[in-house]
Amino acid sequence: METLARELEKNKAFFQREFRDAMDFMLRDLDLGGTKAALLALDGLVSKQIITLSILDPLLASPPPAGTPVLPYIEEQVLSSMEQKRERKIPALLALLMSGFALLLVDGWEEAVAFGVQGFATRSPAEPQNEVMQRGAKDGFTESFLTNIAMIRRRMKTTALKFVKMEVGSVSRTPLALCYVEGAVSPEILRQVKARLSQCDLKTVLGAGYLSAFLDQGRLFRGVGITERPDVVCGKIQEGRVAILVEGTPSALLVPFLFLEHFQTLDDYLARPFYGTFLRWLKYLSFFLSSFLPGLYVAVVTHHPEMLPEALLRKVAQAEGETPFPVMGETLLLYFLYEVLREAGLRAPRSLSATVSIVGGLVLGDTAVSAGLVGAPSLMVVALTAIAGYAVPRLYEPLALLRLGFLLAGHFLGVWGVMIGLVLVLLDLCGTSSFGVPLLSPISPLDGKLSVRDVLARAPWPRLSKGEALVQDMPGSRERGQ
Amino acid sequence: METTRKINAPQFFLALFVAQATAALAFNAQYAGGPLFLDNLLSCLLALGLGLLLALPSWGLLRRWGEGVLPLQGRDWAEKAAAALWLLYFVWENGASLTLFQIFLLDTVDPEFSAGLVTAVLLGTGLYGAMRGIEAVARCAFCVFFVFLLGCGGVFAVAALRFSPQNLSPLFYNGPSQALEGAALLLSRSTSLAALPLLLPFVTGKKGRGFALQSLGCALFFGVALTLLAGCLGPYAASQNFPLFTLASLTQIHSLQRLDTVFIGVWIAGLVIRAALELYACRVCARALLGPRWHKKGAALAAALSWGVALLGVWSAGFRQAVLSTRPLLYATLGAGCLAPGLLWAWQAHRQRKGARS
Repeated sequence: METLARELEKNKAFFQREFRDAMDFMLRDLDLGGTKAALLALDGLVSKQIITLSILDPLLASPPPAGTPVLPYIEEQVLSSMEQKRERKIPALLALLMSGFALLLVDGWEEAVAFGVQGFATRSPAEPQNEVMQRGAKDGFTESFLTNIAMIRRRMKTTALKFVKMEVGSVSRTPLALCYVEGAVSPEILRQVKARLSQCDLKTVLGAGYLSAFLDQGRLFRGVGITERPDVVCGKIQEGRVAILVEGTPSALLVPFLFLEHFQTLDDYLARPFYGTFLRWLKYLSFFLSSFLPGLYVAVVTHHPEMLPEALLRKVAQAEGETPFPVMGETLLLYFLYEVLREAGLRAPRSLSATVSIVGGLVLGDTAVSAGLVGAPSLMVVALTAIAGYAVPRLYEPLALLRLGFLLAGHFLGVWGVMIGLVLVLLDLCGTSSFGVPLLSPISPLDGKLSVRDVLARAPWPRLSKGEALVQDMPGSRERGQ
Repeated sequence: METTRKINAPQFFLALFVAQATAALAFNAQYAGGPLFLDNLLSCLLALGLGLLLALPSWGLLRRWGEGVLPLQGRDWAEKAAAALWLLYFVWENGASLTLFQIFLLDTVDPEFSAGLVTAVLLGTGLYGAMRGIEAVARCAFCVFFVFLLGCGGVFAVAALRFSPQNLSPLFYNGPSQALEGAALLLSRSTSLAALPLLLPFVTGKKGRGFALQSLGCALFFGVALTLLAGCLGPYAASQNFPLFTLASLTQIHSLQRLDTVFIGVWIAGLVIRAALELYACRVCARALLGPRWHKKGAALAAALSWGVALLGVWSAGFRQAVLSTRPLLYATLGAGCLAPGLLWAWQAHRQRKGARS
């Protein structure tokens, strides 16, 4: 059945057959002044109160007079729902029904009226858990993309702000919204985003993360950003990026997303320029510490002890002399232990996560050193690495891999291996682009002005506000000038 | 005609600079023609002037085809032959620089160290860069340039504290032969000339100025290194296999006991860029020689051959002599960097005239 039939009974039978064994399916028969009708909805997705007050009460109170065309009369003179539309195609009607609409079927009509009466429970905006800010707004995205759209719209009162609806997932039919600022976004980038999303052949899309792989090639560093904050989305789309809000995900995807953006947070822009600059450099340093420190430590202690100052060398030698494992072994062991603790702390019930931290961090760490299983310098290196990684939480995934890679390179090839690894990472970064924009832009290819403005330093707002830094205008971008 | 994607001139010539300056780090008395390193200052100037002159056929060849068109596309047997010769030349040069690095690792750093493994990983990284494309290599070289600048700048600045004018010998004490030998060495170990006709079509911007500045930069870098070697180590430098490394290992900053690891780190980073550039050139040659489907496999084969050359260079003294000797390498460089572009230019002009007549 492609479209509705003229007979109400046929239509009712069709919907009842489609939703057999679905306890949430609701069907209410109505008599509208002698004309048979039926109201269809799915329990839990609609508000019964809204249905009663704005559909059933007016319908039953003012039935259409005899001889009046029923559907136009109901639409124009009886019902006052803001969101209502006529539809005759079955797939569209099913989609509406499963999106929280109520359908009114009338005998003798091949069309139905759909009313937006959504009333499912949603979480209220709360402070983002993974993107904590000191001074920024405290509201974060929720699972409802309509609420998220409203949060963005509230911050950008311009008609240039666009939300284009799309659907992904052949079974889940997950709705999403492409959010961008007309005039700022590159039409070519927007076209590419739409094309890549429409090529997504997944059956179900249960989170925004599913789509990253379709938007980006998926090398070590991704050209897709993610944020839980509406203020961050507003800032990014103003610079020509496209945000993707996916129903059911309390975060938005951002494309194109450059490598250096991982180091930028809203707090940098809210603080005074000198402190913002200091924070930036702190994060760059943390990234280098977190990725290189274990590898360099193992390389220097194993292959190049002559590099260390004598006093430090004596301490390291003394600590390592008392442990049964080689430096590489104990660093690797500690690193895996840390990852296990992190995962356990993350997945354990909240009431137990404090216990996990105490047992893991204090008891295991302290006991391992005092029992002579691992050396204190190795423990310190791994701990410092872990803490430094949290200064750039967006890079945690590549950092975990980099640490392990540099650790192995440092052990087998010494500092030379670490150096080759660094060039390899640089080659990967330099060879990757996100929607035609080089990932390492504006450092390589270099744009001195942009680099000094917002990478090497955080310029004061009067300077930042002069001239836009659109993402498609970054050096080396294929869309430059569009 | 096949057109190419573009990288800007500063990035490309910085990449060439890093690749050429890296060759200078392996400088030693055995190939420089004598112990008076100060004489080699003139070698820098000679190599600079000759390099600029010898590049003229490449510029002529590129001008003939116009902006952004690869002159080497395997259209006829002459282009295929040129591609094959260029490919072999780059394998030789790549193998030679890696042989020197392996000798350095084994002789100077640690005889027990698996130098072959380091070289294999280094070549693998270079190959990865070549596979990612010239844009990736040039952009990466731009970052490595700063590492190079910081590393070498730091080592040179600290080493300069040991500079003593008493160590300097008079210029041309043994005649001009060392200066000439040094110029030949510098030219023979430079792949810039041969890389120009193959890689310049990928470059946009002021190429002439870029090439001149890159050549000048290399001469300056080498000049500073030679002056420091002569002034800090004196005659002792001539007895060292890798005197720049010796200079680095004598320096220290506060509690950091030695800076030789920094020096080796910089050398390795430069070697990866050099390998990546040369393997990319091999990729261009393989494309002209075997067709577009084989260019990546051609680059991988070139990397494997380079590794073989480097390993053989360490195992066999005779092979090492053949690979590293200045004269054969100089003739090959002149052939690949000057003669081949000139002949290709003449051949293509002749073919075009013949085509216009018929």
